[in-house]
Amino acid sequence: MNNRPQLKQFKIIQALASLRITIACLFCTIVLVLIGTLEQTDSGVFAVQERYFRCWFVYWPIESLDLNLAIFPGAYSLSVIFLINLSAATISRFRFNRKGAGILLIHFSLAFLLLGELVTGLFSVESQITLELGEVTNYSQSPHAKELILVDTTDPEYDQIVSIPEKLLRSGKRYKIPHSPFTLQVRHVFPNAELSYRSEHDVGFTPLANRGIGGEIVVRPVAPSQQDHIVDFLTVSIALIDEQGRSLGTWLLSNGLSASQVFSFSGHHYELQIRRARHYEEHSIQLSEFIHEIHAGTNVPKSFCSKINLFNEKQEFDREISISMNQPLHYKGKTYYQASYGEGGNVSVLQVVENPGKWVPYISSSLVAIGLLMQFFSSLSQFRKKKG
Amino acid sequence: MKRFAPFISSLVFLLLLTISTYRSSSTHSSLALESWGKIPVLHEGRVKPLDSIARSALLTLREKQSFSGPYSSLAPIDWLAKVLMNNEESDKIPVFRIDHPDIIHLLNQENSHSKYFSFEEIEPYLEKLREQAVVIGEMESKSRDAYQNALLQLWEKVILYTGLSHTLYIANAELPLDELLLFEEGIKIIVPLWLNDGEHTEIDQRDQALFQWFWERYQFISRAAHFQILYPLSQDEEWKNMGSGILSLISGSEKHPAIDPILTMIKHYRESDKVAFQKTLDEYYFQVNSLQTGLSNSVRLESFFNHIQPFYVSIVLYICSFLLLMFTGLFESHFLKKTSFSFLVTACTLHTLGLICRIIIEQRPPVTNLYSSAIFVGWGAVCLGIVLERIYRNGLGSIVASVLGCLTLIIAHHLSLQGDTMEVMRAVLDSNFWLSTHVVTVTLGYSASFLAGFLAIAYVIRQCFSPQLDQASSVSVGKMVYGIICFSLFFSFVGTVLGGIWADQSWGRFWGWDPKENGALMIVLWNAIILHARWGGMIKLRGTILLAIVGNIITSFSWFGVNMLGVGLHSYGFMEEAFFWLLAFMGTQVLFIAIGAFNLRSKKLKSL
Repeated sequence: MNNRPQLKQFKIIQALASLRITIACLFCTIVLVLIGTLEQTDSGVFAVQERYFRCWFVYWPIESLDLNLAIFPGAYSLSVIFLINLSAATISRFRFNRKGAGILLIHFSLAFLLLGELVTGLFSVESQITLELGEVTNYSQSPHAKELILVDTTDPEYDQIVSIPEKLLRSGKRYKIPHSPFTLQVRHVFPNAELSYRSEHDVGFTPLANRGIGGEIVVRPVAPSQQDHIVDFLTVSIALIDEQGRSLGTWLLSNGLSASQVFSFSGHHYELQIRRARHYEEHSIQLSEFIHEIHAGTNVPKSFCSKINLFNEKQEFDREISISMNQPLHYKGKTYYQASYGEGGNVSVLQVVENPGKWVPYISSSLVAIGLLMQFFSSLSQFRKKKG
Repeated sequence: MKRFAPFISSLVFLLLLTISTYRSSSTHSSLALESWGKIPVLHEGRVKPLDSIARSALLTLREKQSFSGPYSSLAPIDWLAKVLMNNEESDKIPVFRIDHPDIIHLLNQENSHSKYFSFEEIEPYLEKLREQAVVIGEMESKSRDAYQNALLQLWEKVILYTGLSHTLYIANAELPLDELLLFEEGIKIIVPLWLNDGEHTEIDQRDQALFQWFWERYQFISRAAHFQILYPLSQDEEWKNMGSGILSLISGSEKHPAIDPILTMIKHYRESDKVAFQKTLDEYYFQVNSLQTGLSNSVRLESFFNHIQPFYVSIVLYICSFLLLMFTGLFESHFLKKTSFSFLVTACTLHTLGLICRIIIEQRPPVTNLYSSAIFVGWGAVCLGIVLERIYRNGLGSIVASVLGCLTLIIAHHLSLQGDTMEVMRAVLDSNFWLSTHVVTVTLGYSASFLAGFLAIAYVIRQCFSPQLDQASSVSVGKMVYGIICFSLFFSFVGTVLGGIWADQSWGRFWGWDPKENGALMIVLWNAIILHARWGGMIKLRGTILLAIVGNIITSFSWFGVNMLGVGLHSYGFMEEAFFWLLAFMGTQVLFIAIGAFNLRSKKLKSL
């Protein structure tokens, strides 16, 4: 009688360990990957990743009902199902002996690989540095994310910058801005918009701002772009409120407006702007030379190479490095890759990646390969015995 | 002796075949064109013999290296010699293949029985073609229809042909050597006058006009040239074409030593002066060899490789092996079976030699582009098929190996129509280490998947004709397919992961959901599904067979399909015609699955 509850639990585990679940899971993954591949004819790979792979469910928006229907498991759910299935199988089925060692190794390394990709998905940061010849920089820019900044430029020696990341900009929110007398109130947020100067055709135009250039700008909200190479114009209107609760006015800010907007308040000078989010470093780099070779008699690029001067946190010259295709620079937990180049051959674009899970695929995939080989050889010896 | 008879017969056949291809692709001209064809030139970033230029140009223009009808004795190099040195003759040779009826109509050639047209026939309509090509060229490639694509293709062929004809000298110029002499005289008179412009303004108007005329012509050929022939005289010099070589005389540069011999050869060629042509050619080679050590070594190998056409001969041998095996089934002859197998082995050996030649010429691992992947997929499948045949000796391994070898080489032939198959590598791909690890393993994974799928098809077909096949042989087919799928899973997985590691090394991203990565992942997942379903007892022989054929669809999608999406890092170019064939292939696979599903229902098979 005492065994009963144990048996019941065991039955659940056995059900969870079913190979049918494994196969269903693999099959769903194939379908997901196939759709995610075909979708790339229309959308950029970033949008596709968000929709199919970096999510729990794939949604199907029904616009007439304003409903987002979950119609298919996303890669996260499939990974979790796989991990549960695998753990259950380990308890109920796998043999912990020499024969089963290969299988065990393969599956656990695969689980490890998946977890590593999860860590990458959650914690890795990718950004870019665009450098002109001779230019020195100590920050990289996010490819997609933007930030709203308020800069106090009063002191000629240094600027004081306060940054609000894109994801905190929600309409109606208020933020007390540190080191300044202001409270910022977000009034409207448009993730993407077309901007144009008002013309005589814009009858009945109500400006979204009464200070800065915003009074002259017509904003047409549009859907966020699906393409990788198109930058969305995040457009917001904000109000600044001083300590006495009086409004200083409203501003229209967008990364589609190139210049920052300037104003003064009680003897201080300020600038407001939306720009691509920056990641500052203590060290800085300078592009000293950019070499772009093409194959003779063609337009096919042969190699790109950026010669970089690296300065440490005290801004002393540290060393000279060259970064080229397939030869990145590893420095202070970040890796710098040659990514692209600008027109004219004197602008280099570097990709900066910080990924705490970087080493996981290396270890896990070698373990899987070893496991597969073990399994292969044990099957081969069995086969030989039978044949012989 | 009898033991070796199959082997010897296949070798004799190989020898005869090689000699005949060698002869048919060699010149019958009395001039030393064979040797002339080994002149090294730079084209698309790679030094290659003129012979390769001739062949790849013919493949692009004519989709064939050989001629038929009145020109059947023309070897590729004969044709190129005419284009480069005697345009009047080459303009009459039908080299432009045109299939689209509307374009034939545009050229007023409705009554022509051939689909090959000469430059003379196209020339009157050049302006018309150009106008349309400009408009179509500005359209987005996806929105062009079949006619527009065909027209653009013809226009590209015209540009290729005219480029070639203006490469050594201006096409149809009667006396190149004398013209150049005149130009050099002109430089001597006019350039000093230009330099002291203030004092001597009385340059003769006619001299000036003549000089200008020459200058424009040389400008034109320096832009139009298809390849560069003036080899670098020192390490830090670059290759030049004839036009820019001649123009550099104006700035006082020394005349490149190859210019005069090249123009002299044109003269002797037109006069058919055998002795003088040979003499000038010898001088030319003497200069090349004295300057460039080793420049002509790989070029010579390439020329040899071009002549024996190992992949073409392999196709023939694979077909022979296949046919012999079919006869084996009819006559139940052990001798035929052995002969078929030795044909297969011979074909595979030649296939291997061809691969090795390419590796040496290119200084690259075997797979660098879609063309070479086709060659390699076939090679891998054939090798595995031979191993299977040695183990099971039931003829299935041989049959599938010969079919796959032949099919993949035919695919490769069609891919070679796009131009040089040993093109230079883009910067990011320029890593022999990753090309030889990641690319080779992934491609072996494709080989194995196709082998498993085709074994399954062979079984389905055999079952149609002899349903009473004994159980033991059905079981052994099941084992073969199973074993190959395991093999495929291993190589696809390792290859995919290596690709991820390469990506991490180059971009800092192990997995980026690029279409080609996804394709490889789908093969891995599909093989995993088959194996797990088999282990779980969900499928038996029939299921394994049918799912293995589905594997063909998935593998062909990830090999070709994703390239046709025209996106991602691995898109080598959108191929419209190939899209049709891919769909056709997938259709036949569905058909085989249906036949198999219907035909393998018997109770006896279900228990296996």
